[in-house]
Formats: sequence, structure tokens, C-alpha cells
Amino acid sequence: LKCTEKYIYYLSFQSKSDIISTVEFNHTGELLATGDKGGRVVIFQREQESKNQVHRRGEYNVYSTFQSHEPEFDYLKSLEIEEKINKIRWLPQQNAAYFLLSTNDKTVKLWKVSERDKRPEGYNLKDEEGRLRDPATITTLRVPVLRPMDLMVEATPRRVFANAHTYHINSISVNSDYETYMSADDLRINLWNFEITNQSFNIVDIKPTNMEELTEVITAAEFHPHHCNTFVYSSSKGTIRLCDMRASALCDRHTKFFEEPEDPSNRSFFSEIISSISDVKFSHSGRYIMTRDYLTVKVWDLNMENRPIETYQVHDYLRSKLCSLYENDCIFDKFECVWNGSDSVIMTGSYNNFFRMFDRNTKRDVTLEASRENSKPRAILKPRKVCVGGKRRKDEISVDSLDFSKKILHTAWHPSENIIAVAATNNLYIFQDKVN
Amino acid sequence: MPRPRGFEQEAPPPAREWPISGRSARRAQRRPFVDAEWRSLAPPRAVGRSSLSGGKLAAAAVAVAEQRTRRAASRVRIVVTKAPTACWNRGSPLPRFSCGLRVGRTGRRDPDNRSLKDTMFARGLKRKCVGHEEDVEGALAGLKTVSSYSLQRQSLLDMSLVKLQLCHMLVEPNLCRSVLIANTVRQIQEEMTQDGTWRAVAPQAAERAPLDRLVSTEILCRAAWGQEGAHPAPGLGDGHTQGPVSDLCPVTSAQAPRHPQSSAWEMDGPRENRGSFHKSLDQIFETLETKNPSCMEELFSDVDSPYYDLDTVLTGMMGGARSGPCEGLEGLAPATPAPSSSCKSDLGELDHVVEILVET
Repeated sequence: LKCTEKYIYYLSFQSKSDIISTVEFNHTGELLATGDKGGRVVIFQREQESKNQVHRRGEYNVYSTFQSHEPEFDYLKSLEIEEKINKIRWLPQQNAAYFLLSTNDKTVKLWKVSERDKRPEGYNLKDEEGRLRDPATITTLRVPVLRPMDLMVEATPRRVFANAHTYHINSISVNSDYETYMSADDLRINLWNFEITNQSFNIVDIKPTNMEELTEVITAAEFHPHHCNTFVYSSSKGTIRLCDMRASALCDRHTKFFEEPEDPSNRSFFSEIISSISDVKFSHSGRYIMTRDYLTVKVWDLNMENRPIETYQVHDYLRSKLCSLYENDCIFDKFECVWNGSDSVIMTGSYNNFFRMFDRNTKRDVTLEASRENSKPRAILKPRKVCVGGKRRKDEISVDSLDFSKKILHTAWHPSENIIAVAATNNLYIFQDKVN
Repeated sequence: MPRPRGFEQEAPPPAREWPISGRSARRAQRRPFVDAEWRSLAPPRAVGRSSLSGGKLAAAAVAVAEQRTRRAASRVRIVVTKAPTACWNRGSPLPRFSCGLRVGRTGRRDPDNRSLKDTMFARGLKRKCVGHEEDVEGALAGLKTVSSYSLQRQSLLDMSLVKLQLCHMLVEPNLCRSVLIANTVRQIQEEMTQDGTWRAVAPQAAERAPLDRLVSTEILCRAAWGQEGAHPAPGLGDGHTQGPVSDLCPVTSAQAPRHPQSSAWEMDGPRENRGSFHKSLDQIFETLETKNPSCMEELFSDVDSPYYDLDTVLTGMMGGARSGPCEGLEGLAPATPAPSSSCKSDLGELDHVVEILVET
């Protein structure tokens, strides 16, 4: 994506009834899954390109909807367990069916999404409605044949991985061996085998023996895209630990430790809070990791632990507003970040339904807005600008006018093309770069 | 060898359900005080303001499961301010956090006589000053010597402690958020200890490292772990004189470890800073939690005007520049030279609330 050209136009837009809590493309980009606060998963499928309707290339339409998680009540602890879907991760496709993992705070489920477009007809013992026939009326035998039917997409839960997390699950990550995956909560990370639901290995445990000494929690975790023994996890203190599962069964001692020294000039009571990492993502190449804290996005080289190689300011104008943002709890918002397919552009969300893209090569960046008013079909998105002080130019928006209830926490980028999905509260926007 | 992680058998959780039945005007007045405090400091996120006239909730567990959405909304209702505060979630500008003016009230103290606990929160200060006219002048003198940085720091500490108290009341507190707030509180406490603005404790306690006196995360975030204590203590029968103050201001109990000598915690001794704090929190919860299930319903019923006034007054604490509540709020401060008539009624209101709490 040449984001300097700022050619992005609006592809499709879906309105949801519930707040979207996660967005994820599958490995081919053909499917886009969203999870919402009501425990539902909605999967969109990209339309096949047809020669007749060239202009309709690549629109996403609803493919399947199912209720993944239900609200539960933990009677032992007198606590509600929210059904909100925290994360969805796709498995690579190995047959005609699609598989995805979805998780709420406590339980991970493996869903199989499959199509059915034929059905057998001509049973001997049942009639067309499925009622049993009186054997006395059967005079001939026939072989049932498969006849086409209207396409039906059905989702079935194939595995339920429950009861392994005391704290709230914040991340799941499928391993590159496609046999295992990990789930991370605030204090522990567990390793699962897809086939086994009644056991999981605990690979990271940072819970102190004395909970009074707890000062740091796990905020995100991810497997390396190619090395099935390597994973990283981030903490609320702004550190990233890379662990190698070959070293020991319990990876409490990290292999690498990434932390940037604090800038003493910027120190305040909020320094620790804004340094808390909300998301960590490996690049597709596996060479870099990207982390998102409250005000910045940082790119780290796995070979250099003492500082990131790139730092991008997402909304530095909020630095002077941290007190107010602490008061209204916005400072605890967890923004996600994504790479594009070639690892050349990174994207993350902000407030006022703004999202930002940074081109790593040209060092240019752009701010765009996901809003209904600005999203006529095929309309090109206009870059937005936040005015920090002084005279506000036309079309600029001042910091005090930002709507902090409209935040873009979840975004996704197509694995190979320049198609992005942006979740703005309860709306999903899909944008694409301009063709030709 | 796989280590399956099942249920962690930690301490049984406190029952935080407030099933609704019955009706009592006095209980309605008791609850809103504390809620109003939260109201002003923690506006809801991305939830529209729903009316307070919710229906009755069924009893505990069933209600929670069935009415989950409504409970969430109810929880939000508790913190929704009736007064039109700066509703940032409707696109209005960021609430201007006025560190100076509001905090000035809590920062006013006579450095020699006034203990930190008394001045930490406005409500505590006010209550303490009711009937202590001579202290007012001393506090006024102390005001001028407090720098704005420490005022801001103080208000940040106040706010953080209230946020932590709020997470006691939530069903599923966010552990990350609780830990971050607790760390912030600790950071402020450390700095204040180094500054010497932290009120000195008994000499024997001074030998220990300052960290020992810092409130631990566990104590700060009792419910965040979901398992630990805060089982309501059997009663408030300790006979401490500062009952009303500590009951009404749960966050003031955070000061308890610093003042092992104060009468409320004396029985525990300086060694038991954390223990006393634990107990004090239990006592707070005991007070806050109604034994009569009618309390919850009162929150959602249409409340009468005195409650509203109280709320308006208290939301003026942290809100934007609204002149009405601000004036009332100024009137509440003991050092205000010319309190308006409205704040006299507000003072009367609070006395009434104190009375209610003491009675139960």
C-alpha cells in the first residue's frame, strides 16, 4: 500500500447490533471473522470475482453467523463470566471445512464451519420428510443419490477447552505446527493440543506466591510464525519476553527480554500505565515484533533487545491529557496493531474513529476515519488531521473535540492484498486500496 | 507431566449481590452517597445513559445469569450521574480535570494537627469538620502552604483509591487495570514518603523500610483477585470514634496503615498495618453492603430531590466547570468563608446520611 498516495476507498460496511470485540482474516483472506460482545461470531466471505460485474470485485458478504459463547455464572466464585469474544484465530485450511478458535474470558472453543450444498435423497426407510415408512409399503429398493440443495453453512463446535484459566484470557495463538496452540490469561499461559481438551500444559506462570507482591500481568502473547518452539509475551510494564520451549517445560525464564529504557524527561505518574503493552504481533517474516502501548507503536528487531528499531507516535497530542484520560478510564483502552502482508505498513486505531497507518519504508503516515458519513461506496477516504494547538485549519479537528467513546481498538489486514477491516464500536468497515 | 489448571481453591469470594426487595427511603439515601462519588469520577464507557427507574432484579444468582445485560446496565446506572456532567461519551470534550480547585479542598490541612487520613477526601474532611470550627481556621492557614504539585498528586491518589474501591464492587474487575492503578498508588505513596509529606507514624514503625508501610496490591485490589477476603466483618463493634468518617469514605481506610496509632486501628498495633487495613476494609464493606435486600432497588427507583441535590453537589467534585454544583461544593468545604444557603442544606443532607450510617 502506498499510503502516501492515500488512495483508499470504502468497500463495504456492515452494521452490527453489538460491540465488535475482535476481527480476523483467515490465511487466504477469503474469510473475515468478527466476534462481538454478545458472544456471536459473524463470518464474512469475499465474493468471487466475476467477469460480468467487475466493479463488484471483492465485496464481503455475510457467510455464517453463530453463537459461540453464552454468558455463564461461576457459582463457586459468585462471578459472571462474560460471553464477549476476546479473540478469534483461524487455523490454516486443510480440507473443505474452515476451522477457527474463539475464546471468551475462560473458555476456548474450536469451531468447524462447513458448507453443505448437496443432500441425499431416496432413502428406503424414510420418506422425503424424514418420517419412517411402513416397511410393508416398500416394494423396491433404491440407492440414495445426492442432489444439489441451497447452500447451507453450518458451524459446529468441535472442541471445548475449558477450566484451565483462573484469570481472564487475553490472547490465543495457533502454533506453526498446527497441532498446538496457546492461551494466555493475566498470569499464566497454557499450551494445548487441539485433540486433547481435558489437559493443558502450563508454560508460563508469573503469579507470585504472595499475591500482595503482584505488580505485573501478561497482556498479550503470540507464537513465532515459523518456529514452533518460540513465542513472545508482553507485560503491563512495557516489557516483552521471548521464550523457547525447548529450554524447559516451564518457560519462566525468558530467552530474550525486550525493554526500552525509560525517557526521564517524559516521566510522570502515568508513565507505567502508558507503557503497558496492549498488543504484540510478529511480522510475517518472523524477524520483527510490533508492540502497541497507549501512545506509540514500536517495531523491535528480535536480535536487539535494548530498544526498538522504530517508534511511531499514534496520538502524541494525548500526552498532556493523560490525567483526564486516567479519570475516565480511557487510559486503559487496549488498542491492537497489525502488519500488512509484506510487513511494510503497520496500522493501529485511535479515538474519534480514527485509525493510523505508518509506512515503514517512506516513514510517511496517514490518519483516516471510519465513519458512515465519509463512507459512500467507492468514495476515497480523506486523510484527517488533529490540530494540537494554535490556529485550527479547516477540516482539522481539535483535540478537545475528539470523541473518546468512539475508539478503534480492533483492525485487521488482508494477508496478501490491501484490504483492511476496521471495527468501530458496533460497525465493521472494510476498505480497499484503489485499483488501477 | 501436564499440569491441568482447574479451579484455584482460594479464599471464598465475598457475596457482592444486592438482591432487591422492599423499599426504604432511608436506605436510598444511604447508598447514593458512595455511588455519587464514583459517579463523578468514573463515568461509564460507551454506554448510553439509562434511566434510573429499572425494574426489580430477581434474587442473586438467578438474577445475575438472566439479567446479565440489565445488571451491566444497572451497574452503569450506579455510576451514571444524574447531573449533566461532562458526558464525554456523547462526543463532548474531555472533562477538564481541574486539579487545582477541587483538590484544594482536600489539600487544605494544618500540617501539624491534621492527620492525612482526615484530609485525604473531601467528604471525610467535611464530616470531621462538622462541629470542629476551630480546626477550620487552622486548615485555612495550611492551604496557602501547599504547592500545586502536591495538590495534583493528592488528587491523583484520591482518584486512584476510589477507582480501586470501585473495582471491589464490580463483578469481574479487570486485573490489569487494578494492578496498574495499584502501582500508581504505590508510586505516589513512595514519593510522598520520600517527600516527608506522608504523615509520620509511630517511632517503632519508622524503623522499617517505607515499603512495608506501603499498601500492598492485594489490599488495594481486594476483589480484583476475586478470591481473597473482604468477607464482611461481623460488625462495627470496635467502638472507634471515627466510625462515620471511615464508613462513609471507604478510601480513607487506605490511610489506615499509615496511622496505626489512630483510634480506629489502635487495637491492631503498628505491626499489623496490613491486617488493620484488611479489617477496616471489611468494616467498610459491612457498612456499605446492606443487610436488607431492599437497598439495591432504591438505587434504581426514582429518587426524591434531596438525593438529587446530594448527587449534584458531589458530582461537582470532579466535574467540569459547572457553577451550580461547584458553588455547593465550595460551600461544603470547611474553609469557605461564606457558604451559600444551598450548601447549608447540603451539609444538613450529609449529616443525615451520617446519621443513617451510624444507626446501622
